[in-house]
Amino acid sequence: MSDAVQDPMRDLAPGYALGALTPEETRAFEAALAANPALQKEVAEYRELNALLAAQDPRTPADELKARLRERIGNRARATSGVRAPSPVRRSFGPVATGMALAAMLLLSIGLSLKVRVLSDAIRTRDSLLSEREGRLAEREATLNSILEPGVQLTTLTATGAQPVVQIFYDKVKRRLVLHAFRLMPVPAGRIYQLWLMPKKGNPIASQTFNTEADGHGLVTSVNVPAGEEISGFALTIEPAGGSPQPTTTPILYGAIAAAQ
Amino acid sequence: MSTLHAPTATETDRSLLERAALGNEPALEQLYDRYSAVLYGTAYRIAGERSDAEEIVLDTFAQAWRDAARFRSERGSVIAWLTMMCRSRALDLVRARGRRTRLVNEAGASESDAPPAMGTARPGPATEIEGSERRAVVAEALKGLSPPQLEAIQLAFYEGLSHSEIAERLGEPLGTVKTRVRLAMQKLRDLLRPYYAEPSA
Repeated sequence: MSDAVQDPMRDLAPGYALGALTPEETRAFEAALAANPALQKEVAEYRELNALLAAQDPRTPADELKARLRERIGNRARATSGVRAPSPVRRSFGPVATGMALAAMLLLSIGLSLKVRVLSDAIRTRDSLLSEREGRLAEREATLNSILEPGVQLTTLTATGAQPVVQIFYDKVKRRLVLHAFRLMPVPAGRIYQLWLMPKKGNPIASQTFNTEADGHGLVTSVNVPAGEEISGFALTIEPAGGSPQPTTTPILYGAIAAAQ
Repeated sequence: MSTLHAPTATETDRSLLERAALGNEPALEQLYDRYSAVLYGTAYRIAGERSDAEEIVLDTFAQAWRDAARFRSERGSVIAWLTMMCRSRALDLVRARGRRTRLVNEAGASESDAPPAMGTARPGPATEIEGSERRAVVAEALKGLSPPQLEAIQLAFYEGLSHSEIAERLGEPLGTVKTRVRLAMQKLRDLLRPYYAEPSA
């Protein structure tokens, strides 16, 4: 990976370790991380630093938490958690006592209903959180898988002065690519960025249109490359919103695919 | 080099985790004894609620129990691994529930400043001595940051805010905040590197 690519990623390492990056930045960083041992070492160092910072404010949790952990991992605590109260002795009640008992049961029933409702809400919230988290993990994993396939090539499109930078992770076998842009400022309304696939022969092939976030980051996943076309590079232009069948402006970025190793 | 666990402990974190990977529950409980206060403190600072913090700590140790065999010591220490899992869960929880928006809006009235009303940390004597020494070193390093850097680190680390949320909270440009956080972390890393836990310990 060239310095132009490595430095921005190293700059993101502290934010990544802190969890302060956007989801798009995180995905792009993890893509670079997978193939960069120096970056992995850097992140590991920041995680050690996190552990030191975390130790600044220790607080003892409730004693019962350890028992809950035992129970969670299937330990002996389960044996003590299911003790049932003995059955009440049957007695004869007068009408007043019976009425009071019924009233108490009614109150208890209402209380239990409320409790059940609260617990149900809590379960629904947790289920929702879980499914959201699983969805994000699956999405992240799919992106990582797509760029970590054997044979995936990284092409970097740079402008003079190394600003901005666009990385293309191209899987020649599956004919699919992932685009990651940074320091690429958003285009104004009515315009859009458009990626072009540069064949060895013939005209540029129109590909994905996209815009970037306010901080210059952009991530486009699962871009298909037409079958039968041998792609030698990629270019980026600014086009009217909706894209163009052929470039209408001079490419602002271009990158050639490196020769196969 | 200092380590994060008691020097008198006869068994290293790594060894405990290896035994946990083989299904040894007391080994996991020893790790819990060593680090639950640190992780609970972290989770509480980020999540802001006792019940959430407890769930996060439980989830963290349950994940450590499940994934102990996947731990790779060459990638860092056990406490760094646990801290990463704990913070990740805390940040996910807070973000998913949208509490961070509330935290941003409630600047100055941070719930996380309130004590958990469950007493103070009570690690073992050796751990306590070393822990207080280490905390003093880290506190000194934090003092070496400029006030804006310190504020940014506190918001990022202890409140779990993202760069853009910090920028919003402070009314500063996003790029300025990113640079501030990065420089502060680099400075702390350089100062505190001798105090990292032994990756292989």
